[in-house]
Amino acid sequence: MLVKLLTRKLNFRDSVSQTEQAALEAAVARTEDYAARSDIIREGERPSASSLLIEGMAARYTILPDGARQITAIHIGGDFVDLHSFLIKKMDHGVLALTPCRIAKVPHENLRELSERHPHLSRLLWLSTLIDAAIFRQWLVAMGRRSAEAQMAHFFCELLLRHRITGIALGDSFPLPITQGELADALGLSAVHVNRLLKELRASGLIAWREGVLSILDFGGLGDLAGFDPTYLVLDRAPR
Amino acid sequence: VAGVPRYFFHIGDCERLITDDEGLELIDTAEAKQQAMRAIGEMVRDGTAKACSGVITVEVFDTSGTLRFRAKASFSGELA
Repeated sequence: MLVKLLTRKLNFRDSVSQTEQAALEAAVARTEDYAARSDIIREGERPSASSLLIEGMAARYTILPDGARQITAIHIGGDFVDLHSFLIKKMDHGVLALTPCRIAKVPHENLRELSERHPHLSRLLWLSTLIDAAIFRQWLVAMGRRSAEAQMAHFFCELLLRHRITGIALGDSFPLPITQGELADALGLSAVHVNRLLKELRASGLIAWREGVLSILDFGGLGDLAGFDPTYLVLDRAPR
Repeated sequence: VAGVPRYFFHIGDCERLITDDEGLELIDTAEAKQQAMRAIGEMVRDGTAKACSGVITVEVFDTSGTLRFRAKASFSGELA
């Protein structure tokens, strides 16, 4: 089932009925595979379908005129990388495959039909874009006001919880097969500074990062360092 | 990757020296310099939030162990 992870994510916040799940699955037109470091969507494109990430890790990004890149979101299996393209139409940023990615394409006409026939499911998809927005807010707060160390710690705490929600985490470990340069672009820091911060988090016994797997060794300690409050990830299940 | 130079960034601040044994693959020394200068700016930002004075250095070595670039920032603040 292609929408398994997405359904798990939605079910974490509310109950998805069998009918709704079947409607979601039926809305997928096809799957496409992308190589690591290839563009899934380019800035300025007008996609006619939204991309649901089935497997892999992807990033929304913007490149400035001087070539500097800012990654503005990291997406994992079960995330729509551009549900907003259904309504926004023209992409104001690109989406990049950080690893090999499998994408389920959901045509916008199918999303329109879903929203008309399944208002509750539609609200849950709306909620998922609201959670995306909450994550953007936390990144903004971290970039503007947290120390770089706390920002990095916050990023790792968030990614662990997001992987737990879709059931991809193994204990306190989750796949993070990206380079330090990509991590630097997500945090808006230099690669040199990121390298130093990683060393310090490792030396403090808070994390390990080996062979593309990030392990949080002391979630309490890392959360304290980050000032992490997971409220924004909407971890409670309630009728929406 | 063969042919891509690697640079090592050793960082010193008031408290400690952090040696870099992994390094970064960069195009040339100019890019290494840019990286070092950006990093030092970011570390000063964090440093000034924690202390009212400090010295931060970034020394960039190539694979042969030759020092190629040195960046240093010092900051202090006192009541007038």
